[in-house]
Amino acid sequence: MAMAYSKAVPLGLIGLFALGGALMYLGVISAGAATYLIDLMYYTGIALAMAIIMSYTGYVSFGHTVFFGVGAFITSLIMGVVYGEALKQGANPYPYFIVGTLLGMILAAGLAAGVGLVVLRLRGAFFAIATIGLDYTVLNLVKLYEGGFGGGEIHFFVSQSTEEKYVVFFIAFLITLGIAYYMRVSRIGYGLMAIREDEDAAEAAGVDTFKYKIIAFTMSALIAGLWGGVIAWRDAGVVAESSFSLLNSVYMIVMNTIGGLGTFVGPIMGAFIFYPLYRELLTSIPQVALLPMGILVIAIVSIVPEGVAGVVRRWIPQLRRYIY
Amino acid sequence: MPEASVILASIIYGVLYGSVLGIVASGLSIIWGVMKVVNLSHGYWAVVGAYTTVVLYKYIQPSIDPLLSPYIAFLLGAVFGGFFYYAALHLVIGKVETMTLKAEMSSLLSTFGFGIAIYGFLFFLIGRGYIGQFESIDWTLGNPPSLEISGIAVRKAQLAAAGMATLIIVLVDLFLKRTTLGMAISAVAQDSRAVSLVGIDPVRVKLATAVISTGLALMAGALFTVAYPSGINPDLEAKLAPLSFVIVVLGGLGSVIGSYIGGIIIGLTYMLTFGITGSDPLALAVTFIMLIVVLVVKPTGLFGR
Repeated sequence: MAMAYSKAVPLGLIGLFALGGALMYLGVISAGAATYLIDLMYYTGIALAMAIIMSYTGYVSFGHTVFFGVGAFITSLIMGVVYGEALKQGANPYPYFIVGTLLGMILAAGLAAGVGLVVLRLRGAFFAIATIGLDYTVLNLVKLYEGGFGGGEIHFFVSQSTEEKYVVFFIAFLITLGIAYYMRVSRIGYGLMAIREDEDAAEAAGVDTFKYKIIAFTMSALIAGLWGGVIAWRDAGVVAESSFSLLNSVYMIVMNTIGGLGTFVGPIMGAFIFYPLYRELLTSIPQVALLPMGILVIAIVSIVPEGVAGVVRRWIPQLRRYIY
Repeated sequence: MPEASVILASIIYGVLYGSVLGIVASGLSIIWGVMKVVNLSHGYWAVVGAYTTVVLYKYIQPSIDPLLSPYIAFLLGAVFGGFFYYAALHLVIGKVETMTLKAEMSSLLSTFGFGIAIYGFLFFLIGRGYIGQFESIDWTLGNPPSLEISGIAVRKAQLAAAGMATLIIVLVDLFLKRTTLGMAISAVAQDSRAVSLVGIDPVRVKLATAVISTGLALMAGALFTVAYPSGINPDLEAKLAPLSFVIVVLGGLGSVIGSYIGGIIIGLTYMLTFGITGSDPLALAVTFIMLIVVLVVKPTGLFGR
């Protein structure tokens, strides 16, 4: 019997961030607190992007920073070149931002589908390795772009208030949550779970595993591209070295692992654990935070491979309806 | 059409670069072939090895000749390897007899965790000023430091590194084929259940594999610094690790000779593409396209069973 999935977690999250936004407009919470929530939406968003392929389907992708980077790069290109011209007539930046992000998402998804057609024939670790190759290659190709700021760098002029940022991030978060939730609870979600549990058995049972994997990888890349575009808009530009940095994939993988693979709620929990911890650990050299994060990942994999979500499910069986 | 001298230079540099890459890949090939562990920390260990040469030469008194550092790095790596096995692998795969896809993914994630911990630790040391983020050693071999091969200037240090790499590959291959422990390691790669039936403790073999593999990783990194003494930094991993995955897949899992030849093929591909087009991104792209082609067409590699 299919278990009834409770909508409590996704609705609760929407409620939480909507409340945060309302309190910010009323001036109850400071801009600093609002920024904290903005970042939390972002980290939850990229954790969910990775979750579709990693948590639901069981494939680890190191290539997601590429999809993120493509979103950031295309958005910056539209904002830097097209909007840059239009700005002289005092144009509104939003149509350009939206078109740029949509184009970036489409390109990221298209790239994933194209690459996926080849590499999704590979199982497990071989797939992971093939995606590692993708990172370094695309980063170096992007660095060939010369826009007057140095290789692979674009900067543009846009000013935004904390309120505007909050709304944009909230919309991106709603899109992400909607897609990720659908990919988990729909028929496709069952197919992905079957692949995750036993791909050969799923195929024998008539699941078109290859098609499902392509759909998962493409949707996953689409969301990564969306967040790339949103971050490029927030930062008013793109620097290839950081937008295509392997660190982006690393954070997504760490959040999924901590939270618990095979679940929808796990990666969200992972983000809610990762982000506060990451902020706490952050020093002037962000890479140092990876030392404790790495130890945490080893501990989770060695001791509780089902992650935080799995542990909660085991300890409090009543919560199973909510943590799936 | 580029000049003949460019092609010749690319071939020479490609072989030299490739033999060092082959050593980086050989340790990965052993641990991957024997334990089915896709060790994502391997490249970070190689970076530790690269810094070892720098530290031994620059930061201690009396300074130690870089030509000796690969051997010291191997010993250091052997010790780290034991720690690495018990910290990241024992709980995940110590008891596992045949690797399932799940166990493979768990070991992938735990070695990934270990890798980023090393990376974080290197930056911690950089933050404290113990080592620099970009290091180089002011060292050359011989006077003059270069000699000419058909009009192409080749640094003697690079030749020495390639020579050492070849020697190490031969020694490791002999070790795997002629010693009891080496044969046990090769046997586990072929059939771990049969090995435990004949009374060899698989955990000890796994530990030994991690020790040797990590030793080789550090040694390879140290050798890399001998050949290419500038631009040592933690992000070197991003260059070495993907290339060594390509090489291991190309050469066949568990085959050291395969890694060596795979290394030279990749070194040549990279340097020739670079020599002809003058584009580093394109040269990398070509090597990774090769990876994907090999993975899809012949995943057992050139020398794999």
